[in-house]
Amino acid sequence: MRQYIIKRLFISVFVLFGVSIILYGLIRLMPGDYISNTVAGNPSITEEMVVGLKKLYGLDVGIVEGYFQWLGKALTGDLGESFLYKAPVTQVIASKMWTSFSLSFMAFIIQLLIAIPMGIISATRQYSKTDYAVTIFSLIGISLPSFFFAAILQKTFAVDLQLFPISGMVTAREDYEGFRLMMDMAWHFVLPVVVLAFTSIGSWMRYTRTNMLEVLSSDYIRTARAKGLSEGKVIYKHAFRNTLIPVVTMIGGSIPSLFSGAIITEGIFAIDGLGYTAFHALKAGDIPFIMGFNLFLAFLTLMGTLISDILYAVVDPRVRLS
Amino acid sequence: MSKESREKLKQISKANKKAVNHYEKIKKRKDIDPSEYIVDMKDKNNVIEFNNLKTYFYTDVGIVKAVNGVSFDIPKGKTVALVGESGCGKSVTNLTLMRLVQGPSGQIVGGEIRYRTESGEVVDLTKIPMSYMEKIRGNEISMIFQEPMTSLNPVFTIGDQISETIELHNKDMSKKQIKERTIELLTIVGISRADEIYKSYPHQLSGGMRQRVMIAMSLSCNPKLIIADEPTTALDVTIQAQILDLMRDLKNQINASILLITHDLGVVAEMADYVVVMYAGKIVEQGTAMDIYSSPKHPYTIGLLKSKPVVNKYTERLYSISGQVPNPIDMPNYCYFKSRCEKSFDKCNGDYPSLNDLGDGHKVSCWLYDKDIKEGR
Amino acid sequence: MNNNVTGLDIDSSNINESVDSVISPDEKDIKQDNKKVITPGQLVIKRFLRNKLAIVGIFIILFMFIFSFAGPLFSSYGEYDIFFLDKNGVEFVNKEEIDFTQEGIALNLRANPSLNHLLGTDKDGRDVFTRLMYGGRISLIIGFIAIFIQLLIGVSLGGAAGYYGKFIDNLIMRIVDIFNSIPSIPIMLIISSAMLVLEIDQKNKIYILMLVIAFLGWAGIARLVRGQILGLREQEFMIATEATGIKTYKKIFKHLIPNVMPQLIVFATLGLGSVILLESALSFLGIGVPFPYASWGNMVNAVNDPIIMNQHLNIWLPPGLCILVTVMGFNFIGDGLRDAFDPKMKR
Repeated sequence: MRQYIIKRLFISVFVLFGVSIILYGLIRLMPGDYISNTVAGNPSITEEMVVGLKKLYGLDVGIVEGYFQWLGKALTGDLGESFLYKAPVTQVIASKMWTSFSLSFMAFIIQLLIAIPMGIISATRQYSKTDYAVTIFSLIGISLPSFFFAAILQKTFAVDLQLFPISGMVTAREDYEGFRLMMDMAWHFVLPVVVLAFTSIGSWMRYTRTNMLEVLSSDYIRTARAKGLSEGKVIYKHAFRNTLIPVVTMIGGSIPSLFSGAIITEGIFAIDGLGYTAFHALKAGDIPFIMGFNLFLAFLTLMGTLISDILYAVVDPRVRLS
Repeated sequence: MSKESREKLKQISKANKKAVNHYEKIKKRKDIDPSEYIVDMKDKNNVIEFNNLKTYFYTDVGIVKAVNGVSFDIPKGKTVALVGESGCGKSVTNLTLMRLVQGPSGQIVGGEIRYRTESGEVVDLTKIPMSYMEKIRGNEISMIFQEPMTSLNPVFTIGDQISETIELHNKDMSKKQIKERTIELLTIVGISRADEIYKSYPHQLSGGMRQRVMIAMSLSCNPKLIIADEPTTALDVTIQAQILDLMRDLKNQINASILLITHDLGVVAEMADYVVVMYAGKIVEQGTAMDIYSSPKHPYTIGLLKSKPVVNKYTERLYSISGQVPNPIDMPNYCYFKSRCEKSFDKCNGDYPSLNDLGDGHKVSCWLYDKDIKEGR
Repeated sequence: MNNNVTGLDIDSSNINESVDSVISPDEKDIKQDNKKVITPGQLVIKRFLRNKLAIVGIFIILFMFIFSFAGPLFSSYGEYDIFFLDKNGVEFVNKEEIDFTQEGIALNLRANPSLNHLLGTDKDGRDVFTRLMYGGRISLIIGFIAIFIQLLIGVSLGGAAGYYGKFIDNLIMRIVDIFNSIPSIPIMLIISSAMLVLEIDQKNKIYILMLVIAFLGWAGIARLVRGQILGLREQEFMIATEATGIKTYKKIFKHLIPNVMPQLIVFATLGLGSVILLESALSFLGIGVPFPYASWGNMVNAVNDPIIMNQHLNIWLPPGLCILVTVMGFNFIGDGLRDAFDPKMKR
């Protein structure tokens, strides 16, 4: 087991290395005067910063040498300084990611609370009306573009019904504090959370349903029935435990991605999280930030696979001991 | 697909829907009146009496009559073997007995399975409410499955899985007593490090060990009847003999009956008191093991016995019954074995032969042994 | 009510075999008279056609194809035609330079739906209905080409990894890992700003977009194919091909790939939906299909203008619905195919 984790960690390092090469390659593929061009129209970027940037990416030396210069700095946590936010990239990421996390986390919890029970119910009543309803509902969720859904929600609930604020994180000019501030923020989070939850709830439902169906058709479920267990016990004790194995692994694997921020949803609702920040950084030609952000996302993805591998071993006795 | 066959498929699915809905509705009723399922036993020395049992599968291409009018008895303390090729309906018979036939397509459409419960009530297992059945399953009638590798739940320990059955049917036992009983059961089935195995997960055990665990589980409540569905098919030959010995010994210890389902005639010879031979959902011959082995009557039984290799006997080539089991849908109304039978004659084109008693309970369903014909009409 | 399928031609296909095991292990070997043998393929088609949602999906996709490929033939408006109103309020299209000095000429923008413009005009004075048709074209073409490239890369690399194993497998799978960890939207952001600097032609941007979507999405297919082939390689029929000395490429293309086909078809169908979704999201952000080309995604983008959001639903609602319905159509079909191919999903 330990050996397995060490192997996975080793692979992760290798993959991160590969991602960094691709990212660096992308920057180098751009024409030489790219940076000068992008920053030309931006008065807040000083000559000094441009020189710093060129140095950071080793643009003044050869591609191989430049890459290793950049990598060495990245390894020590120095991802450069963001033009737009005038602070080290790591600092900007660290300060913004919690907003993204709280938004995504709420959506995540709602998703799971709805999707797992619905998936199980729809599997135990396969091809019933309930099952069809759940299937259609989840397929709509999967197919719905988040930006379109967000626009519809804004139009109906914010503009027409005026139930929720259209965007932003707090009500301007109110200066709430403490509990009221929290309530105000929660109020602003309702629509974006609904968008995030609804657009990914479908895949969780399908996933739970498929796994439950597989488990329900297995021999040990027949054994459980032959023992004299009631249908409820068969499903919620024997089948559920087995369905949980893949589901829990998936859940664990998704946790790091909660930090990554949702570019579209955050952008539309003007939630000052990582996705929103990144989008604006790019529009402003903030290369150090985007590079750091991409590296951060790759890191999160790898963390996800690692966590789900480890969790798999924790929940499944077959893996645990061998 | 032609238009015609598409039409036919549509008709079938319509008819199926109707039939299945009908049976499902009956199954889902609550508060079933006891008078519907209380019956009388023909012979009180029997544990189970099957009477004209019919289990059909409503499939897309038509109705498969997997069990089509099967009647036989299981006497107390005896082993009855149900023999036949794959697909003859022997497994469906035992699943019907346990009410484990997979709905909605599989339905019990007729007949009775009479059983005397421990409380002394005689009930028809095909009609009792599911909650009643759950009290009988695992407690009075238990089951050993064919695939020991997949029949145990991978996420629970062996101890948990055996204790669960005991706990379920013995509400008055304490946790400690249950654990003691579980370890005792593991020892009984010949597992040496019972304490250790108690804490193990199924994947840590070999196939033979798992089958022993399944046997321990089936014994846990001292059942009156153990159904063993091909218990040794998935095991090594050397392990097979051990498991069979074990089952025979244990059966005698607790004086249970065994319904053994197998296609292996060697296993039958070793274990069975009575043999029931099935072909395409119907019984073709039944009698004591002695009857069947020393004087088989039905051409199918004769063929089956001939196709079994015998040690110390030279044969040019092992016998095999030519042809295949007929299409299970739209069975003919003459003998199902006719097309493969070497001895068929003009009478065989007539109705399906009835089951004739040749005396001492040796019954055969074949026109060759029809009384009227034998006596020259 | 749904019924199990049983007792159909069991000889060759493992599909049928597992269908039977659903009912009971005993039904497995019941043979069927030769006269009415139903092949596994027919069985799949039959199961697929019985799935109502899948049929709905087929109709949706058919409709979308006709709408976006045949539709423009019946329309007299072009994709980029801009409509003007002269001083008498009479509408005209002028493809040449407009002399704005002429008095009373104005763009006919954000017009309400009328007989002339079924869905009105957008913020630049273009016909929304016409652009909807052209937008569908772009989305569908990008979807199909991107999926095709994904399949090409995914199947060859995944196949090679699964077939050769060892070092090659390890190498390819690490590349797969790398591509799996690259976030698609941020990468597209970088590429699009690079394209801006390089002053790449708008039309070529669409091709680059297709390539990028394809390159970012093949990893899943490679992983699927590799897993399948790894499992198949151990099976007896592959050992038999070894024994009979069949050439490698024949082994891969005649014996391995056909066995992976069902999963690939399902994956590709569902993938089409997600590629269209990704393309529309990129276009919405302004880094996908560039103006003046129409795409459903960049048409919804108009919603960023509060006035359009509130008063001109005819501009942003139809393209959004088109994305939803099309992606849903592909998902319905893919879901139905998966059920039809997978005998465990008994009906």
